[in-house]
Amino acid sequence: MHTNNSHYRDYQRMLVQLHALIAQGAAGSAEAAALREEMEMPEGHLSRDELVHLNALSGDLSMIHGREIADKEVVDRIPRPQLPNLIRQAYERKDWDEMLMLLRADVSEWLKADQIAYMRARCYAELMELSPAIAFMEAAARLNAANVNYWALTMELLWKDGAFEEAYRRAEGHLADPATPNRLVLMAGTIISRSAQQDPSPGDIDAAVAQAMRRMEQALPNETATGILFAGFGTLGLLAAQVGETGKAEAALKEAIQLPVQTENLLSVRALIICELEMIRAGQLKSSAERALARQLADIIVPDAYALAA
Amino acid sequence: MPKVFRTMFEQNGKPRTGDGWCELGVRPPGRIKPNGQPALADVKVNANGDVALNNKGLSAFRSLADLPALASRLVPLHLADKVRGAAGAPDARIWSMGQGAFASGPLTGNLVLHASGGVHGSVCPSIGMPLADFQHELAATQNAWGIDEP
Repeated sequence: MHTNNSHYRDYQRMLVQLHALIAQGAAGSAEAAALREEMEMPEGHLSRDELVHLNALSGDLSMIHGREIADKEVVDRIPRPQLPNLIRQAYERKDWDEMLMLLRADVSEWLKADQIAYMRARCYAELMELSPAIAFMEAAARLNAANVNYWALTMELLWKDGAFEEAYRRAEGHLADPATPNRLVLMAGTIISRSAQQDPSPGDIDAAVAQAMRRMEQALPNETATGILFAGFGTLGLLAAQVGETGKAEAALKEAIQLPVQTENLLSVRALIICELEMIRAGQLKSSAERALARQLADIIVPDAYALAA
Repeated sequence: MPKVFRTMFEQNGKPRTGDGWCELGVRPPGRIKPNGQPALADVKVNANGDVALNNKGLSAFRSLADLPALASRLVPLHLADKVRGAAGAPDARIWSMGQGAFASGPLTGNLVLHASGGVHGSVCPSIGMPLADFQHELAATQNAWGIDEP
C-alpha cells in the first residue's frame, strides 16, 4: 500500500511484533497486552483503507503461528481453477497488491508453505513494507531451513530496513558456522563488506573481515554462477583492501574483472572495480577517494538475491 | 436499549471490572507509562472533577458482522479460525448487552450510547458525574453482559 502515513508504519511494525509474540507462545503475556494497547495510538490516525490493509496483513501473518484461514471474500470471488494463472500474471505485471490478495485464497494445493511465505515476503519488500517482508522471509527460512536463499534474503532485507547490526550479527553467525553452505557464505561476506565501510564500523570488524575472507576463499572455487563469482571476487577484493592486504585485493579484483559479465548493471560495477584496482595499484589504498569508491562498490556489488531464489 | 458489543477479559463468567485495557471501566486521564509518556485515556475530567460530556467513554462496537472491520488486536485469538487475522488477547471474550438497534440513546438511567455513525460507539455518562461514579455506573452493568461470539 502506498502511504506516507507514519502511523501506518508504526502500527504495521507493532502488528508484526504482536504476531511474533503469538508465534513464541506469548499471546497472553504482559508484553503482548501492552503492545495491543500501544497499537491504539497509531490506530487512531489510520484511514479506513489503511486499517483494511493492515487487517489483511494480520491475516497473512497468522501463517507464522499456524492460524491462517483463507479470505472468504477472495475465495468467493476468484474462480479456483484460475488462481495459479492469475498469480503468475500478477507476478509478471509486478502487481504486488494483487498477488497478496490472490495468496489469501487457499493456495496450498499449488504452493508449499515456505513458498507462500517467500512470495509474501517478496510482495511486501517490493511495496517497501520491510517489516512484514522480513517476518515472512524468516518464516520461509524456518519452514525450509535448507533453502539458503531465504537466509540470505533475510539478511538483505534487514540491511535494507536499516537493521545493520542485526544483519551483521547474522552474517557473523553464518560465517562462524562450518556447516554454512558456500552461497550463504558469499552473501554473508557482502554484509561484512558493507559493515566494514560504515562509519563507525562494528568494534570487531577486523576479526569479522578476516573470517569472511577465509570462508570466501574456500567457497569461491565451488561456485559456478558467473554473477555470484563476480560479486564474490569483488567483495573479497574489497575486504582485503579494507585490512590492507594489497596483494590479495589486487588478485581478487582482477579475477572479478576477467569474468564475462554482460548485463549493463554488472558492466557498470566492473568499471568501478577497475577504478578501485587502479587506485590500489597507484598506492592510493585508504585514501579518501579510494574509501569513497570502496563504499559505493560494497553497496552495489551485492548479487540479486531474488534472482538466486527464483 | 441499544445492543452493544465489547471485547473484555473474563472473570468468573462476567466481564472483568477495572480501569485497564479491555476491562469494564474507562481508563482515567493522567496516567504515565513506564517510558514516561502519558498513557491513553478514554475520558477527560473537567476542572470540577466531573467526566467531560464529550461523547467519549467506554468504547463499544455495533455487531458481530463488524468483527472483520475491527482492528485485529481487538478480536480474541481464539476466534482466529472464524475471523481472519484475529490477534487479540487469548483470554478476552466478546460480550454484548442490550437488545435494540445500535443507535445513540439511553442504555441505563445514567449511561448513554453515542453511536459515531460507523462500527464504533462510546458508552458515556448521560449527566455530569465524577469519574468514580461513572466507573461505578459501568461496573453496575456487569450482570447485563453475556458472552456473544460467532
